[in-house]
Amino acid sequence: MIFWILAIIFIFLTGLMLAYLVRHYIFTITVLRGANKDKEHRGSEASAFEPTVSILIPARNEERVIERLLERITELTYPKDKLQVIVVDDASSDKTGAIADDYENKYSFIEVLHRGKDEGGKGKAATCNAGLKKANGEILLCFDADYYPTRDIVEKLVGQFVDPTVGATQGRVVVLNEPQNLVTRLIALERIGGYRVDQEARDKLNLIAQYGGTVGGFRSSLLKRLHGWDENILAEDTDLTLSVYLAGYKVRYNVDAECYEEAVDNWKAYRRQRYRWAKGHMQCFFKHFWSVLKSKKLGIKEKVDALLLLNVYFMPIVAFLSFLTGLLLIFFGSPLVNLLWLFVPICLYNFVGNFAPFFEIGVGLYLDGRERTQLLIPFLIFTLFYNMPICFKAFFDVTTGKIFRRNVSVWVKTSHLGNGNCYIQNLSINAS
Amino acid sequence: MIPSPLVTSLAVAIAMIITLFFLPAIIELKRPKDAGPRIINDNPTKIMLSMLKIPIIDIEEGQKLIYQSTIKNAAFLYNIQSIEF
Repeated sequence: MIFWILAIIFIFLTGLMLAYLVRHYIFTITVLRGANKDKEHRGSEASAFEPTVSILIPARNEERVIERLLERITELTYPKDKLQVIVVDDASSDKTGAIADDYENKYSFIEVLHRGKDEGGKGKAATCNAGLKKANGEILLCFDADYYPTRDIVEKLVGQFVDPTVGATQGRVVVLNEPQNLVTRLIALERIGGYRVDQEARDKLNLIAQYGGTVGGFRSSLLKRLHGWDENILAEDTDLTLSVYLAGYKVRYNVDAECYEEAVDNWKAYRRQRYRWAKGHMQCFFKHFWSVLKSKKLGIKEKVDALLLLNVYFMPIVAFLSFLTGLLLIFFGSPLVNLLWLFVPICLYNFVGNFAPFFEIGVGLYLDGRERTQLLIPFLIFTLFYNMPICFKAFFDVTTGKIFRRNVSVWVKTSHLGNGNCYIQNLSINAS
Repeated sequence: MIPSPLVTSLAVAIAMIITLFFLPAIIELKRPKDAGPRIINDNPTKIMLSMLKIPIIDIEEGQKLIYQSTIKNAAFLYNIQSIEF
């Protein structure tokens, strides 16, 4: 009896891993086949359509990076008379508010909203909701304070909204401080796999392209209809992505709309950030699982992709458990293991990296013309094993939180030290 | 105690895989030859053109014409130089 239970669990877990393997291969081949086809088309779309745009910048203790972003915002090529920039100073205890005030005084299209200590510090979703009340643009874009966009990013993001079925848009995130150390290099690899291949393929295949929380935005009317950001969910971006699709709209991804982020540069910050993402994703899984299954606005293809997306942070747990059940089956002398043992390591290699498998990352690097960096890919095996306990802890906290009705949505903010500043000059030099 | 041939060959295979995978990675990490992140699409000419709302394709055609006429002018000047007065 135990043998058969173990065998069914083993087949189920291995099958799930195999589904991801196939999915990632389809993504990689799709992007490889369609590389550079629609680039010019997207650009022409962007120049014809110019709605009013509100840019939201939630900021809490960002004195080391906020000026860099605000200066860049003043250099954007989008008509300033159609732009409203709202900096939401979320009860900062440093000079963030003062720096933003300086820019408000100098530029008429920049506004600052100061949140006091009593209402501030409740997380990004609450900060964004405060900004949303002030926003009057037809389109609302969101940028984190540590980001550094390309000058024509607004045109590229907003151009997607020509299509009335598009509810949200997302641009590409590139790591600014990549050369800093091993952590930033590995995050850069994950980002390349995720944004150069994974998101691009989902967009091309009309699956669930994901709004990533920054470097993207929404049709304001839709966002207000969805009641803004859910303050009880830590992955408010994934939550909104699903809400947009469930409302009958779609998210479009534009790989040309590049924005540079300052990645965390140490393992402790990496762990905290991934723990928050894992927990938030799992919260989204519990919130949206049945709505996705029952939705009449999603096709079969989209439903499958949405479920795989929601399930993604459970996968390191699945990989570990499949190893464990495999070992137990060996102990029971099961012939099943002899047939299927090879599947587990094959599928496991699909999760090397932070859920963007190494072949996706390799192809992403190839498409970016950075073949030399492919040599670093073997290091990603460490992030897989590093992510396993993080996801286990997140799973434990979310499930116990649900059982005992505890609030697990405590936002731990990532600190930005301005380490990306010295690389901004390099960007232009490397480009020429 | 002498290890069995199976253990020895396994150990050698594992050591070789690790060396093959990680040695190039360590070298690239210590002495990177890649230039790092770069702006892939923020081209100053394209930015200027988008601000002026001039389609890129027209400029490319214009550049071709300028290039062709420059070659013609150069050939003409070369011929003038060779004329003896």
